[in-house]
Amino acid sequence: MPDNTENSITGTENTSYLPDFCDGDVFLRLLLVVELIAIAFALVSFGGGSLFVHLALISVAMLWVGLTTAAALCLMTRQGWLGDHLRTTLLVFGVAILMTLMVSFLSLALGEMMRYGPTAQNVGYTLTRNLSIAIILVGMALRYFYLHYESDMRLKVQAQARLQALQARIRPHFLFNSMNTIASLTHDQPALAEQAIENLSDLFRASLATEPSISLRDELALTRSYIELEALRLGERLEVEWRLPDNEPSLKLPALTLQPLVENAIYHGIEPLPEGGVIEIEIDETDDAIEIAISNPVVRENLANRRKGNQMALDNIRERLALSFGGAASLDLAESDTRYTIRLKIPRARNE
Amino acid sequence: MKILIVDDEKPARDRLARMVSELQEHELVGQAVNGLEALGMAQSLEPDIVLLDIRMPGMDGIEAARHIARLDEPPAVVFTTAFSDHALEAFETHAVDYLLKPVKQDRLQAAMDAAVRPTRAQAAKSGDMLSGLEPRQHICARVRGSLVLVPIENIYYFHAEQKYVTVRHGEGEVLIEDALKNLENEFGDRFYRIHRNALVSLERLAGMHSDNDGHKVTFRDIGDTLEVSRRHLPGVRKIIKNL
Repeated sequence: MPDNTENSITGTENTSYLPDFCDGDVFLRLLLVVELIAIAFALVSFGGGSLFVHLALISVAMLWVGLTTAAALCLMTRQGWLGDHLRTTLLVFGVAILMTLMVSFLSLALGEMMRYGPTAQNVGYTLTRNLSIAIILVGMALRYFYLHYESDMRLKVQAQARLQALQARIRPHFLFNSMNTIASLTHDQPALAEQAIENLSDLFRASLATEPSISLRDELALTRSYIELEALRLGERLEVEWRLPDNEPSLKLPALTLQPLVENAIYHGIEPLPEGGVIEIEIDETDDAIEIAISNPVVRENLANRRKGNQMALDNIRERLALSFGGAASLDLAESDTRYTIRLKIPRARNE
Repeated sequence: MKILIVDDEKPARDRLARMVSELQEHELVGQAVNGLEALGMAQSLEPDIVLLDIRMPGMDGIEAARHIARLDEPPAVVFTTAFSDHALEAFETHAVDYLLKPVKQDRLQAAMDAAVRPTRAQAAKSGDMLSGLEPRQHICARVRGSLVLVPIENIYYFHAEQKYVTVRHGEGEVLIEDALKNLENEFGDRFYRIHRNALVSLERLAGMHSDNDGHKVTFRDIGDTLEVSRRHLPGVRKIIKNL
């Protein structure tokens, strides 16, 4: 019971709104942006002499501040010193101001030696100017990072909500037919009724769960619960043949992926047949993927009256697979003269 | 009152049967597992009320109700369904009530009371009620004692001979007892009158040829020909031209 309460929506490993400065890509992009700003400054402040020397000096100073600040932030992230948003913001400003002061003094000292740049009289002006520029730029950068972070979070929450909305679909017919079955069994076969309620509860718990993915083992258990319920209702008309590998592959997939496919197979392939038929469920392993095939008898068109909406269920599952695996998972249909087969392919790499 | 229960799911039938047995004035006479079986029992057992599930394999409840409404003395139909869809279609078959599963005992009682009242009146004016009915999707015929369904789209033509109407379809022919006039009213959208004794499927019609005996229509895929009467010739010509 106790571990069920800790399902937070976002992951816990990265709560900072800053990008990861230890990441090479982020670091390079930061270099590029700082250099562009340096070029802009050089152009604005150019007052004669060699433009390239001027640009080089400004670039060196700004890159120095940028890189040392980024390196310091990378270190601090590693050490876990950043903490909440306020603390992060203050730390970034602190580090940037410190680095700016350091670089300013260094360049002043160098300038003195090389007889270039500001003279000792306007040291105060230079420092104030550099600090102001640093504070403005850092402020703008942080604002940008924050907005980016916010919209990222919003997208994540939306994707999560979408996933849940797609997941929580139980066919009303199934629900009320099951209720009716239970109402009937309560009288004559209370043990079966009890089992049916347990199975129905499992299915509802899964459809209401906030955890978007589930192990293959649990999904198979859910599918079995579902089949048991349908077997009570359909009696001998429903026959299911399982072909599973000896060792159940370990794998995560979006919750309620397999069950609705079996539900579809029963709804379109067994229920319309007065004499019923066989559903086959087969799981195959390859090196990089797990393939699940579910097949049902093809129903002649004149028997399939009032049974539409197959496409919607499949689109729903496709969308959830895309949200979870990008393009790496697939759902394909094949129809022979006698059987209709759905093949679900789930990649292993990202799960293990 | 004699009651027939129709549902493809055994637990659902069991439950209704038990509930009916608790109603004093009613008696369960039979249980059917699909629409076709229901139709057979509606004729052989002559129930007063049919409790009819909508979603069933083979012939579903709505189609069964359309057939039942065309019986000489149709029983009252009360639909039972797990979820409130097809309600409109269901009521167009002149059902007296519509129960949601799991059915409650007092709700069942109320439906039975409603079913008892109008049956006679309904039977009396069933003639003009038929006109409001949706066309059936199948023709139901009795072949060697059992009922056979022929989908309307498989039918080439209806041909009346004395007492019976021959229904020619993709896999052969069956005989039904029905007036060509009624069939024309019901299936006028898809069938055309070419003679006092024949209705032909517009989808199956191939062409017309004439010889010494007069004009005859031909069909796709089968060699049968049927005579066109002089009175219907202009209409048939027009249709053939637009094929």
